[in-house]
Amino acid sequence: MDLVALRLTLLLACCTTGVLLVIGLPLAHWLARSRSPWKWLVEAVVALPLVLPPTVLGFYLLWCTSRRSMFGQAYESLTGQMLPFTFTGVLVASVIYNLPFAVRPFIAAFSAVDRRLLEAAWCLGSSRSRTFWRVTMPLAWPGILSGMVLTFAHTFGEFGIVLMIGGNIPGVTRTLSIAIFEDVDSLNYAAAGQTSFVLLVFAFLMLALVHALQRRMPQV
Amino acid sequence: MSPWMDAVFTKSYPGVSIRGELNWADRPRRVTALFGPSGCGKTTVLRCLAGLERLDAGVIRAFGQTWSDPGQRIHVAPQHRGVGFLFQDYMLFPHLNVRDNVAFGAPSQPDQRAQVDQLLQRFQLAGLDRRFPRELSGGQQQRVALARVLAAQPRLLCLDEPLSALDGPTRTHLRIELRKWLREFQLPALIVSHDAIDIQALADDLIVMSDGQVRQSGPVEEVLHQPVDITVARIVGFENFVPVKVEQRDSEGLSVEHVGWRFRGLDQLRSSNTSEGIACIRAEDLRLRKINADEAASLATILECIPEGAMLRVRLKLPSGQILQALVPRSTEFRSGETASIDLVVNAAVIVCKDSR
Repeated sequence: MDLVALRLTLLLACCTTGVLLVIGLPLAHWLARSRSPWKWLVEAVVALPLVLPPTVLGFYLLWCTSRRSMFGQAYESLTGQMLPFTFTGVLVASVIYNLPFAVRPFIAAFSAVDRRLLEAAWCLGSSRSRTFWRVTMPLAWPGILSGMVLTFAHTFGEFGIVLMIGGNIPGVTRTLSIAIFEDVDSLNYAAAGQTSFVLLVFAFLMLALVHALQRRMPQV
Repeated sequence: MSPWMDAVFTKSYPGVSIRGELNWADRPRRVTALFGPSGCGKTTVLRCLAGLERLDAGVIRAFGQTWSDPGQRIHVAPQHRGVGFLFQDYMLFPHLNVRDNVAFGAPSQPDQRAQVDQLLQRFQLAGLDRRFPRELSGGQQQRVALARVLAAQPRLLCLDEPLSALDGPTRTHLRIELRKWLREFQLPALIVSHDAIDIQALADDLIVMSDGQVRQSGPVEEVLHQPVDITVARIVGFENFVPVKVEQRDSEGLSVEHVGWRFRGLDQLRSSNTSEGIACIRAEDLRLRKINADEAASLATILECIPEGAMLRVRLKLPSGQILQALVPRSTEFRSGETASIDLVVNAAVIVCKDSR
C-alpha cells in the first residue's frame, strides 16, 4: 500500500475538515437561524457540489485559478506560485466540494436545538455568544461531529476534483483514490485491491460512527 | 409618579394583528392574568414584553426605561430587561443538571453558590441538584424552572401557560404550589392562561383578550362577574344569553323580562335609554325545580341531561324557544320531557348591550 499517499490523504482530510469547521459553523448557524429572504440563494450555492459533477467544478476552479484570471494572478503575485497542481490547490478544491457534506449536518444540528431554549437563556441574562457556547454547542455537538466525520470520510475518497486540480504528483497531490486509479491503469490489481479494501473498511466504520452520533442528537 | 409599566403596541403576523395594552400605575406587586381563547395573542403580548418579539408599532415603557419603540429604533434586548420568563414546557436545559440550570442565570457574585443553594433549599430541590431534567417529575421541573428564573433576580415575571402541560391531580397540586411561590416572592407577575380556575387561584387582576384586542381589564372577581359585553361574558364562562326587555331601572340594577320570565340583573348597558339587552347567565347560577306544567310562567321543558363530574348539565327550552343550559347537583333527578321552573341566584345575571360583540 502507498503509505505516502495514505499520509497525504490523511493530511488533506484533516485540513479540509478543520477549514470547514471554521467556515461551516458560522455559515450553518446563520442558515439555521436567519430569516433573510436571500437564505435560499446561499443554501443553493452551498448545495451545488451535491449535484455538480466534480469534473465541472474542477474545470471552473482551474479556470478561476489560472494565470489568465484575476484571482490566479493576484494569488501568484502574493505567494509566488499558482494554485493548480499544489497541495493548497487540492485543499481549496476539497473544501469547496465538501461544503454541503459539512454544512448540511451542521444546519440540521443547529435546527434541532429548540429556539425557546435559547430564548430562555437570553431571558436569564445570557448574551448571545455565551448562549451559543453554553446552550447551542453542547446540544448540537453530536450533529456537528457527524458532519465532521462525513467530511473527513468523503475527502478520503475524493477522486475527480483532486485529479482535475492536483493531477498525480506523488507526495504532493497523489491521494489514495488516485493511487488506486493508477494501480488499475498499470494492471497492478493486487495493490489496487489492498488499498480499496482499506478504504471500504474505513468508509463503513465512518458511517457507523455517523449513525451512532445521530442517535445522540438532542431529543428536546 | 410615572406608571411602572405603560405599554400600547401592535404586532402583526400574516392574517392576524395583536394589540397589547397594559398600564399599571400602582400596586406593582400584583399578579395579572392575560386570559382568552387559544390564538388570541396572549403569548405574543408576553413575548413582546420580554423582548423576544419586535413590535411593529407602539411603545413599551417599564421601570422608568423605554424597552421598545420602533419609531425611535429602540429595542432593549431580552438580556437587559430583567424579565423572568417561565415557558409553557419550562425549557430546562437538558444537558445541565438541576444545580447548573438554576445557576445559569444567577449573577456572577462571590456568594453565587450560596444563593443557588438557598434557592434549591427553598424549592425543595436540595437532594435533586445532580439530576438532569429528564429524570424529574412535572412538579419538580416546574420548581426548577421557577428557581432558575428567580436566580436571575428579575424585576417582572412572565408565566406562559404554566400549568397547561399538566393534567388532573398534578395540575391542582402545582396550582397551589405556584400560588404559594407567587405570594412569597412578591414580584409583579403576568400569567397567560385560558383556564378560569387557574386565573382565580393565581391572579389578582385580569385582562381579557379576544382576536388580538384587550376587551376588559380589572380585578379578577369584577371581570369574571361583571363582563362588559357578550364576547367577554362568553370568554369568562357565561353560557346563557337571553334577549330581555328592561322594565325598571334602579340604583341596584335592572328588572328585566323575557317572554313572561322576570328577573333582576346587573346593569352593564352603556346607555340609560336602552330598553333592550342580553342577559348573560352562568349555567351554575340557574336553579331548577320540578313543577307541574300549569304552575308558573318561568318554566321550561327539559331536553337533555348530561352528567358532568359531580354535576348534571341540563339543556332546557323556554316557551319562547330560547335554549338554556343549567348545571345542577347530580343528586337532582331530572328526565327529558319533564317540566321545571327556573330561578336565578340573586344578581347573577348581567345585562349587556344587545349589539355588543
